[in-house]
Amino acid sequence: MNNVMTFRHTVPGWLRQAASIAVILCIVLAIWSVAATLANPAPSDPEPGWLPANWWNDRPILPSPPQVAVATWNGLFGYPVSSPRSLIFHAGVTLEAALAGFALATIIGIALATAIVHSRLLDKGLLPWVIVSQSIPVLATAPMIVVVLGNAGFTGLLPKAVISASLAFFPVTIGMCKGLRAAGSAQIELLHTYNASGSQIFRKLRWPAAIPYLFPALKVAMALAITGAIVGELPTGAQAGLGARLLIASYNGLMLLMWATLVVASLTAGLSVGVLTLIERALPRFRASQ
Amino acid sequence: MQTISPAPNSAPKHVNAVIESRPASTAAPHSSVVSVNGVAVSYPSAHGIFQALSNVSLDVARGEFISLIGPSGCGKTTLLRLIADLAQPTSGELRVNGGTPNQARTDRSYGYVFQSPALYPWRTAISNVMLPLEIIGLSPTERQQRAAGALAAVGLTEAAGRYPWQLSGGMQQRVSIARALSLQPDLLLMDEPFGALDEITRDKLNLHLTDLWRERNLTVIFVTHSIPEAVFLSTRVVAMSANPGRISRVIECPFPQRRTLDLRNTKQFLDVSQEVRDALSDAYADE
Amino acid sequence: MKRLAGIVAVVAGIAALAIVGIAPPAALVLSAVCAVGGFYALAGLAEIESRPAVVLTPALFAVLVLFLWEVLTRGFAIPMILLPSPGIIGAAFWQMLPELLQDVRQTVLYAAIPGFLIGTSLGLLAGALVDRSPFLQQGLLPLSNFASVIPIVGVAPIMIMWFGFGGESKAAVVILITFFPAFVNMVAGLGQASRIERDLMTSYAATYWQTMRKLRLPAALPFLFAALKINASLSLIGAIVAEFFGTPVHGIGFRISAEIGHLALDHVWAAILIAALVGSISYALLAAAERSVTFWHPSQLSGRTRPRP
Repeated sequence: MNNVMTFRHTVPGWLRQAASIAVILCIVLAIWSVAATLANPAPSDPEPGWLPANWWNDRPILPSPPQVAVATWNGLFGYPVSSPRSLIFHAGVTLEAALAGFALATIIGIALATAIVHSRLLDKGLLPWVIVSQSIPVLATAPMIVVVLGNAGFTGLLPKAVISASLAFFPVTIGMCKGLRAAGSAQIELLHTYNASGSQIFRKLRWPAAIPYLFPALKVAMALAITGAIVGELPTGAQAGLGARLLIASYNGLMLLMWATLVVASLTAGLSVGVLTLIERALPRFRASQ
Repeated sequence: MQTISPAPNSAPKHVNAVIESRPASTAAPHSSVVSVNGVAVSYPSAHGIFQALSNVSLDVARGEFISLIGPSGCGKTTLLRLIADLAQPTSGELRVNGGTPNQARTDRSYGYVFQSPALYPWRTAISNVMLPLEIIGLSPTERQQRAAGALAAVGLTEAAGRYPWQLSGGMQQRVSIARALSLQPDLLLMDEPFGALDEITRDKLNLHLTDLWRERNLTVIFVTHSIPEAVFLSTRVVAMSANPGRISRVIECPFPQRRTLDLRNTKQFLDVSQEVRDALSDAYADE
Repeated sequence: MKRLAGIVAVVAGIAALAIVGIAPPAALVLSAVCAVGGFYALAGLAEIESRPAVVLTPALFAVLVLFLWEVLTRGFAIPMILLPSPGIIGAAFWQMLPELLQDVRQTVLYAAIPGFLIGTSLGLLAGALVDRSPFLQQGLLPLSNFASVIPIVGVAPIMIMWFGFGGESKAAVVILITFFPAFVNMVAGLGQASRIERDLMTSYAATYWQTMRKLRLPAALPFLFAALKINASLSLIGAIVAEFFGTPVHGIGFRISAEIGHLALDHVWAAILIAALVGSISYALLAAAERSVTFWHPSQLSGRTRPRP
């Protein structure tokens, strides 16, 4: 008991967390390594080395950790960034569409939430549908959006951005509806005693009170926007983007390319959301009163 | 942390039928319901070692009503938690009913009433009172009987089927007292149970509690912030001070067992209250 | 006044629908009248706080939007390749229903539900295990946050290589997608019981399982239902998107990509409609179950009785 307490109080929190993450990652790597050893047949001409020979099978069933690391590294840095074999190039294409969709979703979401908190009609008539639509597989419309916009003459970035936005605006809308209503009635009444106008109440109270709700919603939206962009690249026969890369790998049975693409997709999403987290932290600290 | 150490052969688990009167100091240690001997609690904090309790000793005889009172940080709740085996001392020794606090807890020989009612919102009042009886594995009929009895003892028979969120704060705290009584303990540990209630409700519950204490011959250890409450209820008031948490004075309240609210207007009551106030103002002077 | 506007709107709307095939410009004018009157009347309805009004407002709102969609697509003769009218979609839905139900069986029964059940159970189990180790909890929560960000549907091609084109590979994708929400919510839910509520159990010398059953699991229920609701929609999305990578000749995702290939937009909309129906019905069932089980939670009590202090 006393030893535990001493440990808790003397080791800083971030270090304990880092240790915990390291332990978990080691466990995952160990399980993965064992599975890779068991799953893959040995290659016909094993190269000598200190790692198990079947970790370097050219057509692995489950690629081994170093194999995936090498494939990812080559995909990222083995080719010039402009090459269609470079995963940086494809990640850039996907990220561009995702960011466009994210921006669109943020604008639409905030505008819609502002309208909803100011209009009883939209609050009672529209908001229930926005909430219901969370249980609907909106992503299923992705192929249709690509084709319809293609028929209307829009190809490339725009259809993907629209798909991203159609996924990502829900969390922004709902988060901002909550946020814009987070200001307490006492705070609103205080401004009423100053005879403040509606737009003053919005700027001085509702909007700043909503910021703590905005960022968690934006982070969810960003993750959805990237998923949306990737799925948006599936049905088009698109040549560029992580989704297109994934589909090509799928058609040709290129297991290593799939894994490398997935790792890059995860890194892209993680970094984008990470940037948002950094921005959130850089903003002045005040928390939702929940 | 919660290993059960073997019971010393000399100390009986329960001291039955010995209804002793005060003062506790004359009683032999093993016949005390609670005996605390040179107990200290310290733990490392951001500002070095924090002394929550230092060299605390206290004997509580059967049938006593002890109030612990003092500034925040004086360790009164910690002391109560030590007795209940919800926390462990760094050094020193505690005995409850002659055994370790852990034995007392596993024997369910005390009832604990927390600062907040801590009723489970998914259970009705009577079902909350039955909770400890389910834990100890009583039969459904026995549970029902005992819980109904405990609710009747706090005057809440009508509210049995209601959910906690349908009860007022005072009623919720009475349910939580009924829950502690349902185990039919001889020892009741209460941590500021009426702290969040308004004055009038508090008076009523104080009156109720002193009746329960007398009629059931309970031993009560009661943490409070209120001097009148402590003096009204107690046989002895233990004034504590902080940094380090320690007992600064023990004040006798020589009133008859049967107490009514009129007691608070007597000169004797006011004198004792003043004595406690003086003891505490010394404690608060440290701050 | 607002009642009158509503009546005018209904009359104008019916008239617009009646003549849209004969005289499109007149129908468009009438529909404008209907829209103005309709939204004005609805704004009045939205002010009312009664139970029927709360249900009726969004329902009529949707009717009005569908009406405008119908009249505008027909009045402006918008090509079906861009946006079919609700009437055409409805007809296609009705005519394709037997096929669509087969698709639902493939996607929901063979992929979404098994994946949901396995993934959610594994997540809950893992959450309960990790709950016993505060050390692992510290690391797993940030890692799960990271996992919630990554586009997991991307594993679909890998699962297809491992498990083939059938429902198994889709179920595998769904397992991976549903694991983390269940896990995170289980850990958070088990942390819901307060210190005092736990101390109470300790003072009774309750065992680990007694504390679990009597306190911590009931206290976690609101979080567990949140996980179930998230996972219900995630499992449907996962199963459908995984089908975009290849399926046998059934499934909602397969239907959508196949009909898109034929440019049969009405059929695509019909498939989306059935997916939306499945999604909202499962959500409604879970929400109803949640209300009956977590009736005591402040979020369910608002307005009925006062919340617990």
